[in-house]
Amino acid sequence: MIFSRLKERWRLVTLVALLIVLGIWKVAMAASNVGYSPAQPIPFSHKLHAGVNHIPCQYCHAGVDRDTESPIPPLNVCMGCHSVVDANKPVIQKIAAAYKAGKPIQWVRVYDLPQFVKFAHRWHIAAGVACQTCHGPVQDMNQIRQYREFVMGECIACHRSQTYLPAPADKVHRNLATYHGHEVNAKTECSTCHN
Amino acid sequence: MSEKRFWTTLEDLHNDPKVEQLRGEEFAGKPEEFFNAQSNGGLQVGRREFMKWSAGAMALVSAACSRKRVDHLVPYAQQPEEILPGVEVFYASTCSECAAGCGLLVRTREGRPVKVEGNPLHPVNQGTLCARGQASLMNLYDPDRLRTPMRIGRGQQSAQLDWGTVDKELANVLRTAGKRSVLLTGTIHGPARTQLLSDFTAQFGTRQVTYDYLNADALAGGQQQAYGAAVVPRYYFDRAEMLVTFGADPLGSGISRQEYAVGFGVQRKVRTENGKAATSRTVCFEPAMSMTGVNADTRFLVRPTDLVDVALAIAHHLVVAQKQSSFAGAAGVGAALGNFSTQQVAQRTGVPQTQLEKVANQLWDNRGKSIVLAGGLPGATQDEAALHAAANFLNAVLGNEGATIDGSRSVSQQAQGSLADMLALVQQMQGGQVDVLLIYGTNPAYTLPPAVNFQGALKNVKYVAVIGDHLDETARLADVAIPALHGMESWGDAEPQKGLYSIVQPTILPLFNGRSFEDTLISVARTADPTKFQMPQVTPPPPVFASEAAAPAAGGPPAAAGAGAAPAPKPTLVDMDFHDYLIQVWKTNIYAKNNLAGTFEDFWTSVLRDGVFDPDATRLQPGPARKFNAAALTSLPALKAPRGNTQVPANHLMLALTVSPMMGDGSRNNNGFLFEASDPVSKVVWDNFLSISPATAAKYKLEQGDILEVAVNGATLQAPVWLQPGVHAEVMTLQVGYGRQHVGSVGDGVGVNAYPLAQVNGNTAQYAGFVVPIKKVGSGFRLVSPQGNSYLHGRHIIHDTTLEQFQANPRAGNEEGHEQPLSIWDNADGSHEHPYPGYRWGMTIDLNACIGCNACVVACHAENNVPVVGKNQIERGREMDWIRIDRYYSGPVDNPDVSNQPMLCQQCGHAGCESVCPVLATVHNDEGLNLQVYNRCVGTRFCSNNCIYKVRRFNFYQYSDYYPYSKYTDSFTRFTPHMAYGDTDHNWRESPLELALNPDVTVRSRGVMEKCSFCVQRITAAHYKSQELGVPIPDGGVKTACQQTCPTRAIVFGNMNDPNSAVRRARDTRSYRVLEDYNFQPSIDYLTRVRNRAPRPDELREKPRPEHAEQGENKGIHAQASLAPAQSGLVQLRPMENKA
Repeated sequence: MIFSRLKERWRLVTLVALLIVLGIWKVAMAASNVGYSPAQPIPFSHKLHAGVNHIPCQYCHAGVDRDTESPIPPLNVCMGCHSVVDANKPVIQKIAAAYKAGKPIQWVRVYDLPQFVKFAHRWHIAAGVACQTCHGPVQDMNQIRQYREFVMGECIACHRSQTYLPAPADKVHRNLATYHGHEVNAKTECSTCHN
Repeated sequence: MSEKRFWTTLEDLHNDPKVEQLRGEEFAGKPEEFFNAQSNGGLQVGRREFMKWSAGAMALVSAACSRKRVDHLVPYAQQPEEILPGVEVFYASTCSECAAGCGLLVRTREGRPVKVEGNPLHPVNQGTLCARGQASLMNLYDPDRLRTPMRIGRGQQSAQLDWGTVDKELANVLRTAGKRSVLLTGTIHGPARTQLLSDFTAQFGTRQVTYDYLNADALAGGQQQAYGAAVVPRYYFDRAEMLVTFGADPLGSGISRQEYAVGFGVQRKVRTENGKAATSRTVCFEPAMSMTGVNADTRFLVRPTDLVDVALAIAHHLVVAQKQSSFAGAAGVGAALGNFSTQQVAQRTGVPQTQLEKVANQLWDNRGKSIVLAGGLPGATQDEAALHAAANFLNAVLGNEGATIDGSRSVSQQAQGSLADMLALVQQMQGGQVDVLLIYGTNPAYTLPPAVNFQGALKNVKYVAVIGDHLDETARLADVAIPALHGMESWGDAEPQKGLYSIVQPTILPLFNGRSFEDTLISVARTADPTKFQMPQVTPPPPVFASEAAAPAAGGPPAAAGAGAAPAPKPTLVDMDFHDYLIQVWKTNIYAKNNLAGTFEDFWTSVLRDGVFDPDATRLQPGPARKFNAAALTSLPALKAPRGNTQVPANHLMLALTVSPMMGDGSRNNNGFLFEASDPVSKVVWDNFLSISPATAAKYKLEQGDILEVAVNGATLQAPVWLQPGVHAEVMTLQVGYGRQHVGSVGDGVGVNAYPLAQVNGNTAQYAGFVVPIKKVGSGFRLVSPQGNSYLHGRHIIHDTTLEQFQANPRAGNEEGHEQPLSIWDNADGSHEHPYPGYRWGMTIDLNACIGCNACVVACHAENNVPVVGKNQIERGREMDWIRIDRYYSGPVDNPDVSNQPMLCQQCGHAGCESVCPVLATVHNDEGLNLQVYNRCVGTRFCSNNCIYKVRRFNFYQYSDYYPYSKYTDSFTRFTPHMAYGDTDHNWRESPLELALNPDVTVRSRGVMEKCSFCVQRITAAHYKSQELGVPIPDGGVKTACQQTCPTRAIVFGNMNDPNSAVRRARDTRSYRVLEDYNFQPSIDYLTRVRNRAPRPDELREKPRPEHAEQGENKGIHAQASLAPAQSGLVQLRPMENKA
């Protein structure tokens, strides 16, 4: 009697443990988005724009040096060129129609951070970090694809190893850099990204 | 030596065993509703069942999708120039929550308001904002707002209308009714708005009547008697070194309470005058504790009917007994005051004669720099006119008129409603003289007593339209209900005081199918007469700015433009909206009349930027003194037969209505922020109640939560009893502003509506002085107060002293000095100090200035996405406030002193929380902050258990799902509605409430600990800015949300590493740290409360308490141990007891 009960309990424990392991694995897999490259409503090619035609990133993603978010270009930016360039192509006409109708394009999001991470592009732009450091060789991608895993380890590794210091007048960070004898280049304390 | 005793609740005072039991419990209750729900009649879930569910849930999770959901990025089609995603934009505007007309800075992100702050340029609120203003976002995003025009058919129908139908219908009925139509509004001021009203009423022959929830008839009437003009004066609290109130509550429910509070704070700060410390003095004569009474230096308990006696006694002492002022010996004055010698009044009212004379003498010493204020609802007895006459007389005697009171130059326009006009209107409605009634911004069905029979009179009106934000009590009686816009969606203006112009500008497009009240008027007027509200428009449209006009028009024929030979295009008329009208009125009425140098475009840009236009420099001074008409006093019939001896028989109490400092008049009650921020006096949340003194309750065997039936002239209601220290023994009070029937799912049915208890005598209303029998009809009502969730246990948390003692000893009340020899930091180089190389953030809070208004609490909710959890959760000790105002009593229980203490995370240098977190979710940073990392937190709650300040908050549920809306927020109330308020089909997390969330702050989820972060998101933003500019963050460069909104500037925040920072300069001999003995080294210093009155016997400390400085050299652990016995029973950092 007692024995069978024990057995039952063990069976339950094993089952629950298995489910937990399975669950954690699944969740962990879900968190990694590397290689995610969904089809977009407009087959926009970064390769053509940034690669072949050498248009600088910030020509379209203007404001990334002032924003916390990297701005996805509004349609008026597209139409700045495409009201003339390739204006007769069907895909451009689709954009033009959307622009005229005032209906924005719903791009599928590739890079995503949880809401408890407060990432700001502007510090990184100010520090001279190339877009490609995190976003990969965008200029070679026809369809945008997630280049690397966006996990905290990657952020921290960079903050520890790289010597990006923006404003030379910033005493705080210079002090931080030498604090505790080891080099801390960018802030790694929690409130840098979490609040 | 007798140690002065502070206490928070009556249980605390009487050493109730419950308090002792709470000592070991971190949170007041266990999660009993799940496992032990049988007692609640709720879910009956056993442990095994729970396991089954958990296993099932886990299996489901495992089988669920293997990658994240597809999300979309939606850029603008045409990005507005001023908007960058993630960058805030501020707009200057004017608060629309009440008619006080405070200036706002609305912080918007991506085109939606996420926070409102006070406009520093605005002279009314001077950069601060009250709790109601801070909570206005909830009213903007309220899902229960009226979304579209509706045909109500007097409550019989419910059909949507389109705007065209509304315009035609209103135009038709108004044209037909002509002079038999009435526009009934609340107080409306502002040049364009009033101009529009007069244009509109002139067109149709409509009459306008102004009636507010609470009206200042009596105050204005008293002014008319005394000075000949019915005005509401402007009070200069910042010039008043002494404030005496008779029933009035200027800080809690004053007409311009934020302005009063700012001024009060200026005078209340301890300063040095002639080499001596000085502060203002506040004396309150009141029947029950008001918010002003909480902050009084001296309070006297006076029944509402006795207030006039006391006021006249003070006048008698000054003018008759002491023969002071020019009124001494004036004809009739001596005779009029004959019945009111201090001796007689002392006998009648029980206020000691010496005290009356003392207050009178103090007033005389402060003549010309004091304010005597009477009224409020507790003063609205049958003798209200006499009370106002007495107060006006006192101000005249003291020369305050023209020195602290302005009744002649820039008078207040913030309360124009008239009950008398409303009563006359009801008479006319009854008599069938009104065919069409248009109602906006007022709610007579809620506020008028049933004896007035507004509803019956409404039946005689052929057509009733209500324009408003909710389908409220009045709108349900109308033919059509028409939505209006929130102030943050519409254009408008305000003129709170004569000559002070303030602009309302929209910060978001209308959320629903709404249209502003003003645009509705314009549209209706134009439908009736197409020639109205037209303006000439030339083609192409004129440039908005002159600079654009100078540039040649793109694409246009340059020759024609350059030569100017072509004839000017013939103007065509186009429809005008209120924005055009507003600009036109400001151009003709304000710009043109002020002889300004620049163009109108420059002027208009500056107005939109500043939000306010205050051209009249003389407004800094009160206008010239008006002459007091002695007949106002001498002709009063009440003076012949004083009512001071009104008898209250046994088993009866005298009822006085009061105004809730949080809910105000009750007009904006669908607001969880305000219900959740506890009442400043009682600390009760989510209810109103009958306040009764503990002694009286004991006499009549009443207990807290007993339900009494109160009947006044046919109006009957039932309300629970709350035992409130500081209430007159023969008095009970009840707050108006609760008990809405139809305002929305948050406010409906919270508390009881006390407005019907008002009694209309002729054309005035009586709100106090009813003698009612005590009739107990029930018991066991749960009144919930978070103040009982943590107790003092004898700890010395509040430091206070009296001015006398403070002048003699700058460390009075704050004698406990502490050497703190120990450090928990053990650095590699052998030092024991945590380095704070750049900034170290700290705060100084002046207990003398804090008035307990809760503005900081609500501001913190709005800034930091702090959820509203509801009454049930607060009862279990699960309130989520990151900052709270602890209210402590001291002294005699029948009339105690009160101390307010804002309590928030102290950001300790030696934080108890940090050292016990098993997952490093709370860590120290190099700027002295205790960071809380939500994504690391696993919810052990060890930190909260170890926190001696009890400022950590745990998310027992996914409160954010209901943010910030719910009064229920028990997950399980969805299934067991009787556990909440009886609501069964509430729509959870309704749009558009989520738009109110601050995108800079993480929304916390279930199982996570959270706490005050010193607004770390603002600190981070300041770092951005300093890095960009290459300069350090200046002093004042970071303002926390609580500091920013504080009307009395009690909170100062800044860099403690900078010896010249405001936060360091604010620290003086009054500084102390709460529970300093523990060596937690908090970053917040409090400044001792200095009361401007004679010390009581128990306040005369014989000598300082023993210090432990001699042990300062010992850096071993023994030193800490030696602290413990001195504070026996204090060091009880025991681990959480598992009682489950």
